[in-house]
Amino acid sequence: MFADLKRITYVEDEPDIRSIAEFALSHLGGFSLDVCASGPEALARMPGFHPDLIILDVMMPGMDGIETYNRLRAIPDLADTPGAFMTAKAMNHEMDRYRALGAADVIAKPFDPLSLSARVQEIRHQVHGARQAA
Amino acid sequence: MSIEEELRTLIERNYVKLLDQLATVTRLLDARDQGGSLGHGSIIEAQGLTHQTKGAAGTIGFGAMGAAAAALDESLRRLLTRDRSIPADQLKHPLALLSALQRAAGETAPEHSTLYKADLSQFAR
Repeated sequence: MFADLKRITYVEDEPDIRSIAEFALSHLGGFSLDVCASGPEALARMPGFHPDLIILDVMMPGMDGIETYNRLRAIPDLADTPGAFMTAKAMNHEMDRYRALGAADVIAKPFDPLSLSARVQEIRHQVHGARQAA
Repeated sequence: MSIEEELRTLIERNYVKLLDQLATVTRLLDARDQGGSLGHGSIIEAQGLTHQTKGAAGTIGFGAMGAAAAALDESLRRLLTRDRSIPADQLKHPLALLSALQRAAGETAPEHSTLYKADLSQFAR
């Protein structure tokens, strides 16, 4: 059984972007959201939150989004949780690289707050489709 | 507070923050020595703040500010390749881009955000 998308962990170091995405996903999208300001914070909190999807900013100081995602996937409970990267560097070759690293998809920055929820639902459906086909 | 009012409050809060960041960037780029050179540390800090301004302005619907900040961000980023003070002649371009960003900010108000009058009726509370 494939769970509906209800719980999202969002990892972003920049407070301004965080506040906008939080509004978009929580207030507009109605998702239950756990917002983390860094990779280490996500690693500490996420196992207790059990998200259906993880959204990570790629460029964060210290532990970046890619390293954070790799470490999260090493946690057995989170190994199958899909992750999407957010980045301003969303050129085709970079998006291919992020997908090769295990990302379900890439959300380009700046994102549209009004369509962000629909975008993450789309990503979840992509993951669902790919897993059913496998 | 309605969801529309919450969004407008968020836009207004971000607008004030963007102006604060721009004031800090201006102060950093004004801190030139008597010969007009600027320290590497000031460039690093100004570029980081400008990068944040670019992302937040674009996301909250201030397109002109976002585009002007993106141009300044790129110009400052190029200066980061040199691990030393930047001489006056190499600051002309970024300072012109800073002026453009200041103009864009001066012509921007919260209600100019593309999100300010967004129809949120499709979103359930």
